[in-house]
Amino acid sequence: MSNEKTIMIIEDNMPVRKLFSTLLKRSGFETFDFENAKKSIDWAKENTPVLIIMDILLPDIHGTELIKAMKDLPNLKNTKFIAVTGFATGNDSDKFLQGGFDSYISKPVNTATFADEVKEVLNS
Amino acid sequence: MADNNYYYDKILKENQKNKKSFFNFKKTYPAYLVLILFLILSFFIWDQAKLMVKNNQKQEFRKATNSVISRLEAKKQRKLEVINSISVLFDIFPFKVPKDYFELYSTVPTMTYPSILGVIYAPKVSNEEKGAFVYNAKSMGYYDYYIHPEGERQVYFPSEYIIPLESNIHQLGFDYYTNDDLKTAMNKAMKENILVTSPVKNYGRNDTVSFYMISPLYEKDSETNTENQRINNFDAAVLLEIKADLYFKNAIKSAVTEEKSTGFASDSSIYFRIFDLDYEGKKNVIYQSDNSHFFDKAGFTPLINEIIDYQLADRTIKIEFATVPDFGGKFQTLLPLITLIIAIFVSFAFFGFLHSLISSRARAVDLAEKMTRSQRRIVETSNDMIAIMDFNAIWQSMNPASDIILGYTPEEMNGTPLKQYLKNPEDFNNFDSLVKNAEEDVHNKFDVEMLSKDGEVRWVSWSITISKTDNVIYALGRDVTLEKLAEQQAILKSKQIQLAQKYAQEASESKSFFMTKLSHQLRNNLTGIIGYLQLLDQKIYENEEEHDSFVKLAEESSEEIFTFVSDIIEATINSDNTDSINYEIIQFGKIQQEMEAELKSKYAEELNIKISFNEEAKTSKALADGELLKDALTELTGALTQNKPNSAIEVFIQENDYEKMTEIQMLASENHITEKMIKLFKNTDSVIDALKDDEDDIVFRLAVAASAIKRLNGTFAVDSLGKDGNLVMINLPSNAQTEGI
Repeated sequence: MSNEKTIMIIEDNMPVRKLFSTLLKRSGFETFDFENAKKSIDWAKENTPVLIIMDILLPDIHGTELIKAMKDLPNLKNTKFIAVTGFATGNDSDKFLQGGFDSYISKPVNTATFADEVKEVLNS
Repeated sequence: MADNNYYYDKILKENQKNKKSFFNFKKTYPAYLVLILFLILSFFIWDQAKLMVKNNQKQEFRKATNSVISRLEAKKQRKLEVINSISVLFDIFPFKVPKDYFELYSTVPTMTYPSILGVIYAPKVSNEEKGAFVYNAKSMGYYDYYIHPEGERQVYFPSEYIIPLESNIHQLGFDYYTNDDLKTAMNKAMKENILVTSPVKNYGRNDTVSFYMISPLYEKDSETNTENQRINNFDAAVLLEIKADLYFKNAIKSAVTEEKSTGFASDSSIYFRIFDLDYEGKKNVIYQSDNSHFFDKAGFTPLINEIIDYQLADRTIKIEFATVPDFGGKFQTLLPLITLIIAIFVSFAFFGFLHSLISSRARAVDLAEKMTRSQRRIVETSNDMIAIMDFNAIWQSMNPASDIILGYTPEEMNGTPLKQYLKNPEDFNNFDSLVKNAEEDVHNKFDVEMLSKDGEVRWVSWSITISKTDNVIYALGRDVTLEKLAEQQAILKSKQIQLAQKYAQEASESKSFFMTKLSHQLRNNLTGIIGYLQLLDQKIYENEEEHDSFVKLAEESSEEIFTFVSDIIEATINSDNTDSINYEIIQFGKIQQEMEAELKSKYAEELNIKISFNEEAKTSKALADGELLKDALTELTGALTQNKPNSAIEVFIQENDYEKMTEIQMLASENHITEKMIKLFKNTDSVIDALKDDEDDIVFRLAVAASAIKRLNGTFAVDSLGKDGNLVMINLPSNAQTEGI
């Protein structure tokens, strides 16, 4: 499936995953959320979201490794990636951006601006 | 411990005995013997030199005298030839030799030889024949001929012919038989039929001393076998009058000669005089050399004095030869003495050399013995094992140090193998390989663990020399147990530090990981709590159901975060309590006494370190673990004073009620090392790395104290004030901050 409004959410914390999904749906996006990397990769192979929002600290794989795997998928070459992290420092942000992420958002997120930040990345 | 006194006493006693060995006659007598020998030899050489010189002189003398004699002989021969030739003339003529022939044959010699004064023919004339003889003589031209001396005699021997006549005219007709000497000579010639020489004397010819050589003539074809026959048949005599001095002079001197020289070099080394003893035994000096004044020189005794007979026909003329002064040269004369002096000098010089050699040798031997004794002493008193072993590593000799190091006496060790004492027998393999593979003298070092007699392990550092030349192994073993232990301690300490670094790194990493995890977990939960509360607050929910789900999700996040925090606290509480801190309110008044007592016992008594507290310290309080604080302050005292004697520390304590802290300041007197280490401590990023530059453990102590203070929730600062000293500032919570601890 390929949809300009399709956003993939990979987050192991259920409340947080639900929050992201709710906020994005409110902004008109269609969201598909996954709690671990394996399930997300399996889905990504068949689908083409416009954006993937990814937690860095996943239970089965680190986000910086997962993005490499994702970017190797030919159908995701135009997909944007946003890292969501609970420990973003100056060094970490550089690491994420160099790792292939288009942007990063620190937790706890601002519910008021979260969707706008996502749109901004999509439009960049 | 082996008894070394025996060795030393023996050595000292020997030393006493041999103290003057190099002056001992017993040792140097060979030199004296050699001296005596050489002196004897010197005198022998001197004697031989004298003999040689004497022989040389004799030879020279003989040469010189022979030279003179040979010349005289030559002269004599010529004269003999003359007289013989004239005598033969009478044999040739059947009758009497005519006057002309006589003159002819006689003139040449007289002209040739100036010493021939006259050649005379004197026939035997009886009394009866006298008249006729005279008449005959006159008829030959001698008009004034007469026989003289006048007088009647039975027989006359007057000169009938005489050449040269002019100088001998006075002898013409002279009866030679009237001269006793000539008569004696003629009789002898007549009786013995020999050439006879008359005594050398003045025969009436002015001052001329001459002699006659008389040759007998017998009647023709007469028998002359017996004396009677000769007497009866004696017919005449041919006389040759020779001027004696001229005869000898011409014989001795060469044709070309200077006045004072004979022309013969050897004549200058002798002087001589020729004399004749007449029939009465009277001595008549015929001729003497120009330098014959030495005969009369008072006080002079010639080196060689000899009278040689010179046979002039039947007459023995005496020639007295003598050597001139300095015969052979002064050097030759002095040669024996010089030889003696040199020989004596050489003797003493050699004696001196030999004596010195023997003395030197004795001194060298003495010195060698001293050195040997010194070395033996060094060997015996050395704390290192000094040993010799064979190539099978069997001890051949060992010094008493083996007792000190291993507890075995040298006697116990000698004859035993090295392997027996090694803790690890496999250590022997390397040694064995080294010995077997050594092709020439090799030097090597190795450290091994050895077992002492009481079972202890001692590290011994062996320095060995494998001598193929001497066929032994020289070994020097030093006890390095303490060094090895220290080395092992140092290695251990290094490993401990490395491990501590690793642990610290691990702890740091764990801490980072924990913080990451903590942050992640907290943020996730906070995201849930804040996010859903914001949605609820902004009423961004579609329905009641969604509202309830948001509330529920927020609650879930809250519960998660609570559970998480509780788990963390519980985990912290349940960790190892061995290093747990027992907080209590410390009364510094009380702790001061304990600290003073501990500090004094540790530092002040030995090092006289003065520690003073201010008055307020007595009533000040802080919340801390008393023991930990005391340890920290003790470490700081050591660090600030560097354990230097007579250092001083002022401790200032006061409570700061406003900040709820108790401030402690420790001011120590100036110490450059501490100042340097404080700077190192302050400027380093890693205290553990700084420990390698630590001096006197100052950095280490500062780190330990700082860590203790931090564990007490205090703050720690240290600074150097240069000449004013070094300062530590500590802040501890006062009793107002008991919540949460």
